[in-house]
Amino acid sequence: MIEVTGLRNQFGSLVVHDNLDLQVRRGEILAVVGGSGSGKSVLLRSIIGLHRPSAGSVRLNGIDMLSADDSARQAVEQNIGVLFQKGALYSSLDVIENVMLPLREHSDLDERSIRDLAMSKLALVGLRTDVANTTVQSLSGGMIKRVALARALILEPQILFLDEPTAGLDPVGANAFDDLLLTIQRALGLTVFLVTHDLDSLYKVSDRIAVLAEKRVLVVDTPERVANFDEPWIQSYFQGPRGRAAQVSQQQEKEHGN
Amino acid sequence: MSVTQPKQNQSAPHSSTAQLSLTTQPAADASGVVVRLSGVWVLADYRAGQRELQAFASRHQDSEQVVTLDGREITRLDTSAAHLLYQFFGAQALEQGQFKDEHRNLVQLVLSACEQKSPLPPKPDNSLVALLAEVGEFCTNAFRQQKLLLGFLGQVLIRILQVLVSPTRWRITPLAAQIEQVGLNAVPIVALLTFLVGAVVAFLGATVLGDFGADIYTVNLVGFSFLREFGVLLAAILLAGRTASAFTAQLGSMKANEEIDALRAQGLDPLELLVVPRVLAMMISLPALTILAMVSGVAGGMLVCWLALDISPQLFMYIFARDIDISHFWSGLVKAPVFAFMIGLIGCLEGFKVAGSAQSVGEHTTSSVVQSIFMVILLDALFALFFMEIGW
Repeated sequence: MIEVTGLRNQFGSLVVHDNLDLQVRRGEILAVVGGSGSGKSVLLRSIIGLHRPSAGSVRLNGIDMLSADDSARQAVEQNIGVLFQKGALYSSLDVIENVMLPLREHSDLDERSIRDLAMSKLALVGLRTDVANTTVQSLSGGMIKRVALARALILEPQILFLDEPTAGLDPVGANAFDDLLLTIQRALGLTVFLVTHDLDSLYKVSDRIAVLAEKRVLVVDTPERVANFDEPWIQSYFQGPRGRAAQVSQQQEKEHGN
Repeated sequence: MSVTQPKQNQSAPHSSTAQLSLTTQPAADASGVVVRLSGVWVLADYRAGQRELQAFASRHQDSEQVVTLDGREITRLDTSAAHLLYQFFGAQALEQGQFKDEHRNLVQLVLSACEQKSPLPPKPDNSLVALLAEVGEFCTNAFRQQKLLLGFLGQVLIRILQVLVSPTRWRITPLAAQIEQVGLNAVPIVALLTFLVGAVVAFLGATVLGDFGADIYTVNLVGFSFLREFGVLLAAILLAGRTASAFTAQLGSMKANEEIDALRAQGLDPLELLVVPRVLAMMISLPALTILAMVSGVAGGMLVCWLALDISPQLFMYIFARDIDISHFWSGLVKAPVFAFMIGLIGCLEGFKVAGSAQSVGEHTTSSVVQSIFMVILLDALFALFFMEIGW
């Protein structure tokens, strides 16, 4: 679904990525982890076309985003949804207008249908409809993330990009957001590209984890296998006290479920 | 992502050749109707779906029949289309309808989401009531704002007095830095602007007074207007635009960044650290700038008199010294510290009123400029009344 080959990103003399390869399969949740400054966000921005890489190719749905013509690229871009780290809701619009905007611009539907669809998306992400007409400023952190998710889903994308969706949420809110993401992803069969620091959500939602270090992807595999991968940074990331706690709690949850 | 794209592409995903269809047949027990859905039911074909459903509705207006949904032949389904079906057929039909396993989850998700919808918020009141409410809100806000400003004025006055009597608490460096920003850096713009206005006033005087053969009184016109009013007023309005906004933006971004809370938490007084140097710098700079404005405005008038009316600078100065009493200078200058105090106060208070976001900083910056200019002109009118009554 997403295919990155030979990606190189360079800012001045600082090389962030060098010959980076990564594949995301259809219908999976791939989480990308890495230390601060390892270029997770740059990778995401390169894939969705906000940053033009120095070299390499990015293919979404089999279309090379760097060489495709405008109309082909836009068709693909309408097929992806992005949830930015701080939500990036438009502060001059209220909640429902934020969700309606992409549909208004990209479809020829009448106003009522657009409003209905936006409302249904808000309901889908677990928001009560009375938040629809409130201003963006009055929302809490968790609600901002949910509205942003509703906006990302409004064009019915096949691929969803999430940049640290649980950052800044309290554990309860983060957990609820993970649940929501899983439910929606399973029901809609979305392909999800997730950048995160949150170890709990890493274990909970991801099908595979890609570790970004030394300017490339060190390993891509299931959480259990990645956690046991023999590399010092990965070991200190996953086998540190926080990593262990997250692993244990996830196992407990699974046993509890069974 | 998609919002950044130009609008031209909007028709692309909504092809007119819809690949969805809806057929009906009587149910086995003849009491209802089976609706067979097939094809691609997605957002791109939302309109086609709406049309199909409406056509179905007009065919079956005697809707006593029980509808059974059969969606097993749907090849693609998304939440938008599922919501459309939900709106049209209702939850029960969708619940009991038949779908492919891969679509079952999706339908279930949409159903559970839509079912817990709370009722829509009540309609807004009629426009007359809304208008009244708005006027009322505006008035109470204006009243509250003035009350707040008065309270702040008292607080700052007390703090200034406290600081003045204990020299150990004088903060010379920030004060000097503020005077440089507020006063020194404003010199070119104040000088240029008042020079130009002085020239304009002289031209006006030359035109109007010339009709009466009284062009020589242009000197008095320029002198009176700049010493009494224009010098201080122009300088104050310029500083209101230039400095009140800067104060609000500085303090507002500090507030948004929780820096002011951090000061308080460390037992430091933001009033003393931030507001007192700024207000004092204003009160020192504006009188100085006012004198500059008077000089520069009169110079502008003098130049026009010389060029257009053949009144030489020597003659101009002679008439100026003979006709214009020094009290006019004082009655202009005495207003400057008062204006300065109000401008500084409003700028700082609006900065403290910033809440959270960058947008709020912008709103309060605008509001501080508007308020301080309004306050300067209001006070000037009051001063004019006062001076007239006491005969200055």
